[in-house]
Amino acid sequence: MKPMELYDILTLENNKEYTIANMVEYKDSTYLYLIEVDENEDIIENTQTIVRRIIKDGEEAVEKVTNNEEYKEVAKLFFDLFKDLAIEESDNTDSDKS
Amino acid sequence: MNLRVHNPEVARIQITTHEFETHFINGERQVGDLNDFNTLYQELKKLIQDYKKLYLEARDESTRKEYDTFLAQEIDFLNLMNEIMSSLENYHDVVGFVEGREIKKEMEQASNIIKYRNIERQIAILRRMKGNMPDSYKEQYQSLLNHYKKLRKEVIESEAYIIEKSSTEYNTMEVTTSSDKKKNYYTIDQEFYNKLPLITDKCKYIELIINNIEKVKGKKSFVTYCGVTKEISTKHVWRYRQYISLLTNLYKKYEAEEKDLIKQENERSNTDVCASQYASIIIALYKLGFEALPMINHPDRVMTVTSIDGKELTILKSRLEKFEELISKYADLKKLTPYLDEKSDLMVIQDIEKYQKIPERKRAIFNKIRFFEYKKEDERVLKEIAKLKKALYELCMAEKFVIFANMKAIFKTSGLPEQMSVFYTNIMSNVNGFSVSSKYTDEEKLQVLTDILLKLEDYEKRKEENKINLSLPLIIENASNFLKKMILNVKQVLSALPGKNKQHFKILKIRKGKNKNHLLEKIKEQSSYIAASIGMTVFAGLSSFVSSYEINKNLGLKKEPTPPLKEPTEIDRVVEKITQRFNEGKESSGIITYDYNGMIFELDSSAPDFEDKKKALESNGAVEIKQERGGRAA
Repeated sequence: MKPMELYDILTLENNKEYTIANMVEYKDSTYLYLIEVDENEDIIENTQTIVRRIIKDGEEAVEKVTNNEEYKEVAKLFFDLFKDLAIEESDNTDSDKS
Repeated sequence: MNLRVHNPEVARIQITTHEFETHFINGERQVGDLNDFNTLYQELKKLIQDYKKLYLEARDESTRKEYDTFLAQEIDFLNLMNEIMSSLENYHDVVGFVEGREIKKEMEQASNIIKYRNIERQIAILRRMKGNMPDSYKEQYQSLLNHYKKLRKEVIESEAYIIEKSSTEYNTMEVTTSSDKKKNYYTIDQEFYNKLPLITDKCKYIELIINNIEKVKGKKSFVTYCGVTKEISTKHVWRYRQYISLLTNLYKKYEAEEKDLIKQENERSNTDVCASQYASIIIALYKLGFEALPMINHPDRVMTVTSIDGKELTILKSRLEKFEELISKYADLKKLTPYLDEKSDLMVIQDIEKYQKIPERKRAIFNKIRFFEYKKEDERVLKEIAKLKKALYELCMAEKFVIFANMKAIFKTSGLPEQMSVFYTNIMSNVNGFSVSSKYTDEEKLQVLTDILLKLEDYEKRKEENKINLSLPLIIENASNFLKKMILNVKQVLSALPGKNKQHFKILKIRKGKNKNHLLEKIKEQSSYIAASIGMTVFAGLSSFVSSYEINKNLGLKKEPTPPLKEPTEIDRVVEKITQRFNEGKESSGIITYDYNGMIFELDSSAPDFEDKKKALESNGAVEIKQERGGRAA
């Protein structure tokens, strides 16, 4: 698999571009939290999703998470990551104010 | 060293000490016993050192436990007082606010004292953390200290005032109490209590029970007050008495003022009656929307607002917006129903027989908070009332939205781990507002929320397209911005939930972003919403409500045709739908609402002490407020 980093831009086969807002490893798989971006690479808040990174027919692909338990576990991991990010943001905002 | 014997170590020390004293101090020492002396002395010294350590540890532990218990009792006690004071404030609102009089001085004094005590306890709790107090508490601690110092002078004056006003002694009345073998359980003899003609006599009776409790030391006691049974510690009876005495005094004053009120009411002009009705609406809406003000817990958030005709009311700052809205709506309400016309009767009553059974003085109070019901079958009247109810319900819903919007502020201002708990508490309590019933699961409540939000989106969409000129209360529009964002995020998260078919999407290209920092900043800005959305999805179980259509639409991966625009009355349907759910929930929730002299008691029929409370309320003349379809009882 090609190396992939946070905030990289992926073009999917629906010809839309997504940025990797967060990424977690869970049970030997990589899960991505994707947010769509426009041509200026501004995020489109309304289009976000959690996917698993896979190899499909020898090609790199993302796959919807279909198992409820798996989804919950992964979502919790993302929850923690975004929570930490929100704390960081909140701290920055506070320090900006002071 | 004087240590009490309460464990083997102490016993050993005492025995050894005794031996030591006997042999070496009291002159019974024998020649050649020096070694024995040394051995015994060393042994004693070690034992004492060991014990001292144990004793100190035990004392620390014991003190801590005792202190925790003390704090728990104090907090419990303060909650009880808070409850009573809130009830009293309701009562005061009805009597005092309708009359347009100032807030009673006694009430202010009592609030001061309770606020002060509450701060005192909060400081005590925080002090215990000193040394390892988290930074997040330091500011709060300092602010509490400042507040405490500021209030001190005021409280000394308040206490002096109350002591002066509470000097009446009651010594003549007999007290009937009952108790079981395990606990001291003092309850009001309802029959006797009921026969007492005046509230002051009833209070006097309660006070005597409290006196009686005071005599029993070291056991837990229970007291029933206004139909509510509470466990109190005998340690704190003195303080309970202090407040009961205060309440007695206040009730005594209200009793007299209530009589004056009735007298004045009879002499009042039609215009005054209309003003009174206006006040009734405000009070009714206040009661319709929310519970008593939690003044004690949020001393800084309370403020006084002035209504359009100069009357003052103390409300939470966060509710100011609601009150402004209510007041601005009043003109419309007045047009909606003939019962707000100055020439109309003050009150319409559905169950006239029940109403007639209420003592006259209570009826006067009752009149001021009930205005939904009708005395005869009149289509026109019913229609007007239905309109009024709808308008009221809309206002009630508007408030729910506002509170929900306030979550945004909560979310922004506090630290995230705590804020998440506050956030969920708020979600649940506010969603709960849509359907008071415990019959609904959280998921069902969230479904109602989802419905509303989807409709709001639909409304926004239609508004943008300028196809429909649909007006909603401004308050809803303001709140909807936040709500829309929340629900969209939730739906986005949900979009990754299981669908019927697996969906794979090839990655055509992976590249570096043009401006990584820009993306990071933008994602950071969204992170609290995303976390909340995931939280709502995973922890609150919203998942089952979003259809596969929503999943596909929001994923942007599979297009479906846009559904046709809905009828302009859709938002009305939403409100009706919620109203219907709300009423269904209310009717079957087992929540029984009673009106007792203007105080509203909500009893849960499934609670173990329901029958006791019900009996206590009914035997004291409280009236059950029946729920009606289409609106809540005020």
